[in-house]
Amino acid sequence: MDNVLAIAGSTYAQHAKSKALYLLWILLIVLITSANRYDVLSIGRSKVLLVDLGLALISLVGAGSVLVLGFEVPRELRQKVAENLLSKPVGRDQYLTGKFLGTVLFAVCNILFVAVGFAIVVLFTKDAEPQELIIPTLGVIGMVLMLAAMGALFGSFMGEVPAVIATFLVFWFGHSTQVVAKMADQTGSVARAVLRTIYGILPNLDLLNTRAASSQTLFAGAAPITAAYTIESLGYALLYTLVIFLAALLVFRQRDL
Amino acid sequence: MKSGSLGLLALVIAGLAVCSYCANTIYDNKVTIVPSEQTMPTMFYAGMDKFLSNVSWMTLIQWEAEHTGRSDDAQMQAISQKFNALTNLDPRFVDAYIDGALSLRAQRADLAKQLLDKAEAAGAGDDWRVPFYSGMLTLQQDGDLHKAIGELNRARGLPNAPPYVASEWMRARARELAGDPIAVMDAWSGFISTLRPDQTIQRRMAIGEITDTGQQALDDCDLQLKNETDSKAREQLLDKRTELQKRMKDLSAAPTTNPSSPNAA
Repeated sequence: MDNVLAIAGSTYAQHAKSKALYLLWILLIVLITSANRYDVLSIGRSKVLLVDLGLALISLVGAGSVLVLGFEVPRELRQKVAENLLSKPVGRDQYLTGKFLGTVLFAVCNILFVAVGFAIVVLFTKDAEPQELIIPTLGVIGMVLMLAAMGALFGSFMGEVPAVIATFLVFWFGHSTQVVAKMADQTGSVARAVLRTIYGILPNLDLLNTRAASSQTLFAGAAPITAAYTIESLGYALLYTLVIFLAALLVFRQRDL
Repeated sequence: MKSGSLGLLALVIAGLAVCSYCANTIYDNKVTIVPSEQTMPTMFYAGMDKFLSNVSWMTLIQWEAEHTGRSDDAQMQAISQKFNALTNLDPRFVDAYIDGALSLRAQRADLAKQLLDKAEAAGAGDDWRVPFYSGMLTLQQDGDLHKAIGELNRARGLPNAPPYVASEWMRARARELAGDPIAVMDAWSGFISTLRPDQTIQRRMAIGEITDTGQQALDDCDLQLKNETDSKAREQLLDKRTELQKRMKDLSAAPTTNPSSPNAA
């Protein structure tokens, strides 16, 4: 366990030491604040724009932060850095788990950094109540967990660039997998069962995407996302993350280094 | 493959089966909270559809401004397509539905109605503007009074509906009863009784409607009496005339403003 924590800590420290990164996050918060100036251009929708922009950027920050995992594991393998680690009494499972935990910690810290900045902006502009942003932010954290697991899986058998591209594609299309469920609902019983099973196996990031629904609750009187739904979707994210990460460990064990 | 790895493989397969079950259950739950997830087309914008709808809205406003003055069919089709694309990004974007419907209303009321029907299907019908403009368009488009009255009736019951929504609903009801002036006057009187004391403008307007309807009906009666020779028919017309006069007299005796308001005097 100490080895895992040591690798996680060093992974986090390695990513988090960049000061430029924090400058970038501060610029993002400034960008979110600037949405408040678009009242005339958007014909009175600057509040909606501010909240939607803030939530979209939090999601991008989370996704961008975990992409490094897909990049890092293959890079360390290529540069033989991982071999040095693995020649010591550190197992492959420990190595990958440490990398995974360090990256997730890095991504969650980044999300919280931007989310707190966003909440302060919302508090001052009075465009929404900051606590109303908790549910969509939790959804982003759930998405980050799933994406990190996918990054670990791809990184365990692909090269750097393909792994990053594959993780990015999961981020992009994982929000639209409900199209398979819709297709299933339009077909007969057997096809429906097959398509629904396929849908269930895919990384359904849309189940964790409550950003649009939360914004619609705030500004369009839509039904609110319940705490029960948030808990069950986060439970799903944790379960899916665990399963995919176990798959990543399995693949990584078989890999010739 | 080692036995530990085989166990892990079995765990992954079982885990995926459980995940599949959970995902399907959660999807069904989400659809009950956000019904538009199922009814609207799926977008492929990494879950940033809602944010992009704002960008698209601002772009569309600029585009509309640049093309002001054009009202040919191609322009109407383009407006319809653009508003459809925009509302696919945010199915509860009521401003977009209304702006689109009002832009299309004059030339292509059918496309305007399609847009408002889409708003209803997307669950945006709980904003009073959607059933209100839908009702007004129904009146304009095909004159289906019964349907329009239903839509306007729903609109007047929704939160934040301004008083003119109820007035329009009543006006549509009066159109439905147009053949029977006494029924129209009674309907308007019933409407007055539902108004709050501070709704003086609506009250005056309703009284004006009753007076106009009554006066028109009296004039019609007088004209028919001049030409009518059958004694039975004349008797019926005279009865109707008396009834109309009675209603107008009752109306003139009723207060037109809130007696407790400072303006009542």
